[in-house]
Amino acid sequence: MRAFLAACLAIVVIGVGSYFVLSTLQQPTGVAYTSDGARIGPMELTRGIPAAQGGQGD
Amino acid sequence: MAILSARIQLLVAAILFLVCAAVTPLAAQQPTSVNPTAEAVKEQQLLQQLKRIQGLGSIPDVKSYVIEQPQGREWRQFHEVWLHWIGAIAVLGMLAVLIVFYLTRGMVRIEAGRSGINIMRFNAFERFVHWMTATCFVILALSGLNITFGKDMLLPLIGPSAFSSWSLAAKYAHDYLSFPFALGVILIFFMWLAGNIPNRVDVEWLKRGGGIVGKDHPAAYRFNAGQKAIYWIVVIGGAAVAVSGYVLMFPFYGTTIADMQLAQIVHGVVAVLFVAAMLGHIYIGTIGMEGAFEAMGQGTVDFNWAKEHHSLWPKLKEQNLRTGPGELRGKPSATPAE
Repeated sequence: MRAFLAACLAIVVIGVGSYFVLSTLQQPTGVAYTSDGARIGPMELTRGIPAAQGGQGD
Repeated sequence: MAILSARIQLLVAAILFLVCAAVTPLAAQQPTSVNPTAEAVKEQQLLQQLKRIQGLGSIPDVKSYVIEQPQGREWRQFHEVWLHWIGAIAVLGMLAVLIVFYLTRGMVRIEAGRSGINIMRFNAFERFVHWMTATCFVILALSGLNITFGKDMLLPLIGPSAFSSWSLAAKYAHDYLSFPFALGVILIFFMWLAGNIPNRVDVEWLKRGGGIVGKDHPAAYRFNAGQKAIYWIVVIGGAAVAVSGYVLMFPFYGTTIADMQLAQIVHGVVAVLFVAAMLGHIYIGTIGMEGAFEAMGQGTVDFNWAKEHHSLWPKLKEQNLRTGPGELRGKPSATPAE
């Protein structure tokens, strides 16, 4: 039983750790597959674009 | 006379002029034989000729400019049709075989009965690695099968809201539990490699069907041929799903669309066959054989169990030397009260 519980703990630790590692390595698709000139969603409005230019329309 | 002739000529010319002037507008009102749309390119015609739909875009990812292509349609046919059939036949077929086998053969008992003497089969580290891998496998299997079958089988049952919440959690679990699973496969490979090299004893074991039918007990070392098969399925299958899975998790890191499609095909086919194989492993390690689960549950097995199923296991000789061959008395598994 102890071996099984230790295994479950290891799974949680490694799984959570991999989440944080991948979060630093990978970009969201809305950032990875777009550029400053082409946005695919409202979340990307602030991506690399100065606040003064916001709201000027397409 | 000359004046009359001139007047006649003038009249003829005027009549001719009037006739020409009248005919031209009439001719202009007739329907033209030229169809201005005939030369226009039709999308369906383009699709049939080029077999793809593509254009131009403004984002840097040029792959997105191709909307549809023949290989994509073939891949869709695979993952919407063929993979469903392969998975259903493999998993349901294995379940059916196991149910029939259990109903006909029943649990493989310890013939000589339990001796009461336990010997160590798997130490704590081995059991830790096994359970880490096995637990991850179960969660990966359920979340992975949801990707293929969930929309058709689970969504109608629980509705779109619950299904999307479950699928989101399953997708995250599938991605992040892949790391402890891959680690477990690597550890299993090194940990048990020495005992899982095939040899001539395995050939004889296989010829006798592993003794699974009847009361035969072919000889085996620490791992018999069936266990060695499971070992190599786990190592090779685990490596295949791990590599193809990470190709899918890191899209287009040096791969093309065709590479990604191939990775998905490998991942899907190997995964469903892997699930089918592990169902057999789970069966024989739980309800299929008396005394089997204890090996991975507590780490020890009964001496008589080891003698019947792994007669060439060196640890048996060590135990025999300690206790002496004459001291072990087999007890029937169901001893009537005396």
